[in-house]
Amino acid sequence: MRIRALTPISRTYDAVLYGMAVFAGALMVAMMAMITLDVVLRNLGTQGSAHFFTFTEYFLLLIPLFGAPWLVREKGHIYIEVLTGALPAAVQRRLMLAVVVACVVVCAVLAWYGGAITLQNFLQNEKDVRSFDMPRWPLMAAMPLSFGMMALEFLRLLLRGESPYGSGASAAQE
Amino acid sequence: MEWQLAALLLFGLIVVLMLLGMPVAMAFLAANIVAAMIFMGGTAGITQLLNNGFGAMTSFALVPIPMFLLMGELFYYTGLAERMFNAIDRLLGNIPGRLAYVTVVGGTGFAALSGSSMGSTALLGSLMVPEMMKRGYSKYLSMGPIMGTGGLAVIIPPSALAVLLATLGRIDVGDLLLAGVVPGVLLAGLYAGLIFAWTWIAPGSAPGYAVERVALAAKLRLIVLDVMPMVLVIVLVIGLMVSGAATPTEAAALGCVGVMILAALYGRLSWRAFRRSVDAALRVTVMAFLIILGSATFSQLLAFSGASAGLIGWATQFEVSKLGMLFIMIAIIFFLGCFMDQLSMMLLTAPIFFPLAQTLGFDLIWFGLIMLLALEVGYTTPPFGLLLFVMKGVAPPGTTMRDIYLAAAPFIACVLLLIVLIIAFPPVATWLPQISH
Repeated sequence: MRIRALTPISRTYDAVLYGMAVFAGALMVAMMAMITLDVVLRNLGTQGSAHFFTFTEYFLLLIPLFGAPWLVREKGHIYIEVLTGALPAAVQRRLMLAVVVACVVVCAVLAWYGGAITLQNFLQNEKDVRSFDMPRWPLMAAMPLSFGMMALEFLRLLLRGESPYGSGASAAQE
Repeated sequence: MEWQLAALLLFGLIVVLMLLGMPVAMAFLAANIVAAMIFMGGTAGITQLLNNGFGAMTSFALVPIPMFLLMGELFYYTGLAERMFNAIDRLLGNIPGRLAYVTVVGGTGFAALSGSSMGSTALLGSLMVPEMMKRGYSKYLSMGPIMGTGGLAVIIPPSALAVLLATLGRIDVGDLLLAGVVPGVLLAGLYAGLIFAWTWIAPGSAPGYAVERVALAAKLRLIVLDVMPMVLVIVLVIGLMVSGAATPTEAAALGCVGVMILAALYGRLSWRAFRRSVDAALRVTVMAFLIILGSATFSQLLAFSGASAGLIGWATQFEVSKLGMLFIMIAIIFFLGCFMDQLSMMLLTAPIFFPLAQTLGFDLIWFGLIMLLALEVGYTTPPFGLLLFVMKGVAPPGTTMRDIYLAAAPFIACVLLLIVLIIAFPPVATWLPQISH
């Protein structure tokens, strides 16, 4: 019964997680389109908007933060397996669980302090001054959101006893 | 706290956490949280860490990274990479060791467009090794060129790693990208020379086989239709930067659009290919930028704790020549490459190496390029170079690690030779950036 009761919540949560990743992908494409448009406009003798620059910079912050919880779900984070791969299976498993616990703690700490900064930015009405004055809190809010969801994702792995590592050889990629 | 202890804590914690199997981004973040609390006044340090991350990630200089990655993935998923490869395969007639040349020439093109040595090695490995083994090529000649061309990816623009290194070293992104052009071409030439010598000394390592004759008209058609357009995209990206018509960021975005237009013209731009390209580029971007977020405070912590100044002061007190110091830095990268990926190596060493290089009076563009090459060699250094394991993953069953080491060795020697050349004749690297000014 309890699991059933959780279903709508977990469905919504999954929709948010994948929705954020899709949004991150869309931002990446938008970034390409905006820069290209800027170059085209400039070569047509029209001045592109200075805000293009600012938006591109904000996208750079939002793309990884919105995509990060999805990457944990997809087990896409790189890790080094040179040492751990040589350990006995039982030790490997314990170490893996300890690593996941540490990841939950790291993400939870960052979500907490990220939340505190966001609140402070909101209360003090702080602005990020670039080509225009952007309230800082909506941008900063992506940090507690992202790290909070990453903490949940690592917690989910822990509860399921799943490995955070992707399959195959050490997934270290550029 | 003594600087030695601070340096040990900062570097040690990250390395230990990584070796324990913690995802690299998390290892950087965890170590920085601990160090920020120690050196930056408790929890205020964590707030500082997040604020630094905000600043570091909204840096315009980093925009080419996702763009170059997207360009490479588009090139791959739309099938343009394979098309170019097949064309080069048909163009190279019946010369000894032809498949090895196909790997180097095609691989150079692919490396230039993808900018990823891992991706390059994995693709070429699965594409070329079975074919070469089938044709009776020795396993060394089959695998060596593939690991070698992986090395070209980091220096021939567009290279995402070069963009990041330039940002870390506070040098001009465009200059470092351009600095890689001539050495990249030279390295491809060295590889071709090596294969020529190899097949001349040991003809049995690449037995000849009947190749379908391609008429001159068909060859011209292949060049015009399947090779030139892809080469044009690379020339466009580099040309825009050299002429100053576009910044590296703009050149990168235009490169993406260029590949998309090409794919559309070939009728290969499907929604599926586009979605898969964005998906793949997003994965690497997210992973890389989280590591950048984690390391944003790292250089500041090194400075704050006195570790940077201490380490640089310590390193410069010895009676070692400038060149000796350069070799020590290269050796450190080789060592780290035994168990670390390029991104982590770069983020750990750049905050110390660039100030040190500046103190020693090095040209930073020249130094940056040498560092990129060293990172690539580090990646292929036995026993644990990560690229070797990627090769093992796609190599035919029964291939031992020893086979892979032996196959990689002559090609590593070529990169080392190139490093020596660049040290002896700095204009090899600095000429193109200079004329672009």
